[in-house]
Amino acid sequence: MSDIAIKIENVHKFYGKVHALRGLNLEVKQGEIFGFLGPNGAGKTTTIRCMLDLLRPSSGEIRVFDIDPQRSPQAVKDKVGYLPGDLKLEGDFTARDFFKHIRKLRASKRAWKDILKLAERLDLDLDRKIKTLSQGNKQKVGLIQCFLSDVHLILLDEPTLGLDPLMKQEILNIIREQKEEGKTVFFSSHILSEVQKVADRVGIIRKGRLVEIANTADLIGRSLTRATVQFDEAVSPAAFEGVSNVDILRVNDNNHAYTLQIRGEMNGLIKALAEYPVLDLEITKPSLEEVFLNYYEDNGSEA
Amino acid sequence: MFAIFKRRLLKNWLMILGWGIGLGVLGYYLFNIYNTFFQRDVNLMELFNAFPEEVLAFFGGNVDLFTPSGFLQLEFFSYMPIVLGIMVITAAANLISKDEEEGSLELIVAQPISRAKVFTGRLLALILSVVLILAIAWSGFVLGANQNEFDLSPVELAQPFISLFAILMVFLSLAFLLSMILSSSNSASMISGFLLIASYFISSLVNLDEKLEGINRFSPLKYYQGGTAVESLDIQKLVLLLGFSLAFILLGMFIFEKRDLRFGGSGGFRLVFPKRAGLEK
Repeated sequence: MSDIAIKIENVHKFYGKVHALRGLNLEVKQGEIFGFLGPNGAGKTTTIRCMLDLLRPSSGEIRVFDIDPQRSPQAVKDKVGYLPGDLKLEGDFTARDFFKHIRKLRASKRAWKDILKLAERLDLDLDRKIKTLSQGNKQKVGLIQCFLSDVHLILLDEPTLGLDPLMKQEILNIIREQKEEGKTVFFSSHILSEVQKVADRVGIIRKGRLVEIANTADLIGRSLTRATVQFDEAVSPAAFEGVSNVDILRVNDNNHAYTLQIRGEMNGLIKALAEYPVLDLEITKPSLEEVFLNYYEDNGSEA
Repeated sequence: MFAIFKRRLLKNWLMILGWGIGLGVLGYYLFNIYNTFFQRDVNLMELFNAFPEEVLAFFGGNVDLFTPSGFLQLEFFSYMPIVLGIMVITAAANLISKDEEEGSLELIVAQPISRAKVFTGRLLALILSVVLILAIAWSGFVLGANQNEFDLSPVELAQPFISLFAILMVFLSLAFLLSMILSSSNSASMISGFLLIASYFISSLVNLDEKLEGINRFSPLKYYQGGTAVESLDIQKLVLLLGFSLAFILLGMFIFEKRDLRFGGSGGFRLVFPKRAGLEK
């Protein structure tokens, strides 16, 4: 068995005339936390649903732990815990009854005391009817049901939706713990700071195509650097024209302050700055959010 | 599958008791009413004959009101396919599609259980619910017949219920099939309901106009015996109705197995037909 948990090759998916996935290629290694980024309508949820045979790709191949979800859907689902993005639960269950019901549908079962422990940790009342729970508490029910059996892969579609900041942090901790237990976590999100906190690797999807896949740190590291410079006197924008790897983003304060963008090494910028009286210089690496937005701003107005 | 079946059956318990007891009580009192009819038969016969033929056509046509089978047909079994038909059509159209529309099916189908098992568990629970409703109603009839010293055995009384069950299965399976093909459970209910009413009209009006016999051959209610089944149950008609039901169910199940799950809001609600199995390269 390979060390690949998810392999997606040239997958297309049409909804009538809508081309939702356009030759998607993706590999997720076993034991990693993979963040799947993209705005609404990019194809994140469709990709996840194809992995579980809820949707059938129009063409292409998907393998989850070397198993074809179309040919052996139960074998795949047996290894996967799934939290849907648009979670809807039968309201007349209590959370406790719901977990018992779902456990009956799964072959391997986690110890009930572990479930109770997790519910306690997430501060979930198990004996209230689901229809009386807040959206955040329903989300907790959805999350806990992912862990009702000993799965190898956890697919989370927007897992922190509707949760308060403290609970979001707790969910991210749980995701990290799953990795420590050797499980693979694939989660989609558009809250980039969360992905940045936990994901080992990140894939960015745009209009059904993967536009980037990289280690989270590398992606941020090799991306554009931003410099904010304050001069003691007005400096003409011409001073930076022709400087290698440097673009002017903003000029403020009557040519006394510049925001610059640097691609790669900064030698040219340092030399150019040395010609002028610099009062202040601040160099920042972009957040994943800025990296992500770059992919969208460069290619139209989708972001 | 048993967990799905049990869950669904428990959800239906109120429906089972409500309909079953209601119809059972009605059946029990029908036998009391029948005795009263006999005591006043002369006047009633005149009254009965005074009814226009068009009205009688909708209550079983040329039935003899003063026989137990004719009375049961007129007072109960002639309109039960409509009353219970609407109930089973709604339940069958909602069997899968409603949860699909609401989104709660996604989490169930994402569990390691086949779609066929999800469907079969729910379907069996619905069929058992219908059987239980009819069984409770039948027990009311048996009790009423015994109390009023009718010469009708429980088996004879069960026969029209078997015929009723068969016609209900036709509309149940049709509503389910349509819910797999049409864009929503509401449209499946509406069209199935329309076909039920149309079938009722055609099989009633054929008593007045023989020209309708051609179209009546395609009307499921032509093969429904109702109260007349007390005398003898036509197995051929029964097999025909149940055969069509089985075909509709298998076709609906095939479509559910082969198609994408539909998700509200994701562009998935259109007319759905199964696509070719297997991935295209």
